Amino acid sequence: MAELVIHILNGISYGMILFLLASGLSFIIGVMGILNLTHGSLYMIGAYVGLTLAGMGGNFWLAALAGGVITAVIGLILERTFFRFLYKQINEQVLLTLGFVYIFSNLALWVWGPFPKIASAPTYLAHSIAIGSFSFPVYRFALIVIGLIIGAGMWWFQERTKIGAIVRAGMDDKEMTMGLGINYGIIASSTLCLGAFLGGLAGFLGAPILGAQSDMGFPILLLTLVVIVVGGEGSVEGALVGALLVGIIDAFGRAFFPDLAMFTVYAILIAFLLVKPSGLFGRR
Amino acid sequence: MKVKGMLFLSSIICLVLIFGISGIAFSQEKQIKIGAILAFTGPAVTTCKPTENAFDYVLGKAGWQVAGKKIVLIKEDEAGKPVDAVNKAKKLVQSDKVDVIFGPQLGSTFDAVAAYLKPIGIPQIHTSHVLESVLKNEHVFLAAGTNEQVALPWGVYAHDKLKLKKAILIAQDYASAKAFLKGFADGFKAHGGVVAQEIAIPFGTLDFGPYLAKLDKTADCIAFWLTGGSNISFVKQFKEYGVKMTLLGTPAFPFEEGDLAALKEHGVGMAGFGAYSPEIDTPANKKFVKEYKDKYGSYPGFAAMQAYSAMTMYLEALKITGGDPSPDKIIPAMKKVGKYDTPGGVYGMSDKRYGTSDTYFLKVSKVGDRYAWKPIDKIPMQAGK
Repeated sequence: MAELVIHILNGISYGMILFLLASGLSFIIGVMGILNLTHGSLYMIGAYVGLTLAGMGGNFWLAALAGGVITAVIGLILERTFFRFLYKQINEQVLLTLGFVYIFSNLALWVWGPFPKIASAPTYLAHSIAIGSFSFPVYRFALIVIGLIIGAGMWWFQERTKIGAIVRAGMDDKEMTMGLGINYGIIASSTLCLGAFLGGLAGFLGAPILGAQSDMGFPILLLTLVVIVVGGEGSVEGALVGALLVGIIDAFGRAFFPDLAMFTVYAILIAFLLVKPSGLFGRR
Repeated sequence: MKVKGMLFLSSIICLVLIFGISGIAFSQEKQIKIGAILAFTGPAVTTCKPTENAFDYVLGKAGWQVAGKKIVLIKEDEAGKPVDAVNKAKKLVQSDKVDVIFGPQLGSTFDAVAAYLKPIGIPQIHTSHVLESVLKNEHVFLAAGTNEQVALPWGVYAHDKLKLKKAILIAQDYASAKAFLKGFADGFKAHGGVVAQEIAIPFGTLDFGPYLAKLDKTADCIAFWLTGGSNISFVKQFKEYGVKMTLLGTPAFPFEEGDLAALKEHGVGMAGFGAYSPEIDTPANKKFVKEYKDKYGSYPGFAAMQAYSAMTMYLEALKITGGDPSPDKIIPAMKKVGKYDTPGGVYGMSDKRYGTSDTYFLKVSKVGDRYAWKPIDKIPMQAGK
């Protein structure tokens, strides 16, 4: 029983990192129609920036916020200089954002060196508690709580605020929303900033578990895309449920079918693409 | 007059071209061209800089010449992709006309280049250890031995000296990593040890929680081979999940000092095996470490010493041939090199084209303001199969 609990907690805590990533990217795709494959790289930059600041003696949470803010600024620069010229041009979006993955990866190699890095959780969270005959790191509980708080905040923002209503309207019918006199460009830029911020935040919050390295962006991007396919684009609930589902199935797959570990998550992807391509909570 | 002038000018140009080209040809004959396909990018990127530094150190000490011939080193990036590595090898062979190729550094890229070089016959030297099967290519030399051969005595040591009886093997899901742990398991089992569990980890895995919760708790040690960020994530999580087993790593490619710097206190106490540590307490090593650190700003690690050894072996063979790098001369010469000195101790190249050396049982300790593998015990040089 204790082992089962550990596997579920592992899946949920890993799922929360995926949720932060997927919720941001899901909105970028939903609101802007931009398939931003650079999202994994923004996650990597957030991890490295946070690690650098924490390594200089900075507070862990401030380093996480700074990682998110700097990533948001980079996201804004990308949106203003490149992405806004590529609306509805899916091939160009893929090529450009994939190119940025390689550029950012090599820049990280140049700036932070070839060796991977790993963050230390705050001292008060850097211990483990006993669950049956197992130990479980307290920081992973903290990650679950942070993910739920951010998820609740995003849900409230999307469902209960005027800007959230505009975002939802834009996702359903962008032209009609603009026809009502709404400056959708600002909404789109803000969405990319928010998505990039969440990606960067996820990078550093995940760093005490997953570390940081120059080629970390692409593998996590693939899982993030699986989460979006499962949950559906442009939905906070979808990103959360999709991330938890992917996280838990991944954890159980690795534990009980290690030889199929590479396959289990992608099997879900294939199943959803065949049976429910709009995802569990997709708007389209 | 005008015609005569033009004729004179043409003659001068012809003379310059003829003597110029022959002069270049003459100077090329006096050169030994070494090609190095290194991991400037890709999964083995951490080995690149130390290898570059060690090549520069050894060739610099030799004055960039051997047996009266100037040495030229041409470096290319393997990018972690077999196709890219083969293209770089083609460029080195066809355009640069190199006499030898060091690398590439990954097992997969090395294999691909070995297949390309096999009919050409140019010697190819791996600075580290890879799969034994690559030795089927007669032009291939493995300066640090094969994975299976290197790890075998470590399995014996773990059982006999460390008194460990039941092991879990954790390796990334690729041939080189599995071969390394197979070598360890062969030695461990041959002396009475039992392998309780073998876990193959997909590349890129950073969350080890699911695996750590499934470990066989009756085992007393874990021998692992994980590269990239997986190595440090695994060690940190191993402690966080409260696993009480002896952790046996290796300071080879998967665990250089740069990784220990990232792990900080989380790595202290981890045991491992390796052929080199900058903490080896001999005058020759102390001198080497000081010079290396002064020149390159970092401590030499396992990759640096392997590259040092490989390049030294090649230079020793060139001395035997009187500086003749042609394959029919240099390949037999490399087989005859035998034992040679390095700051890390005596290395050997067998006539079966794999290297041997003493290895050490090591533990991660804090040394001044850095974290390093400290030698605890020496395991004498052993030949392979």
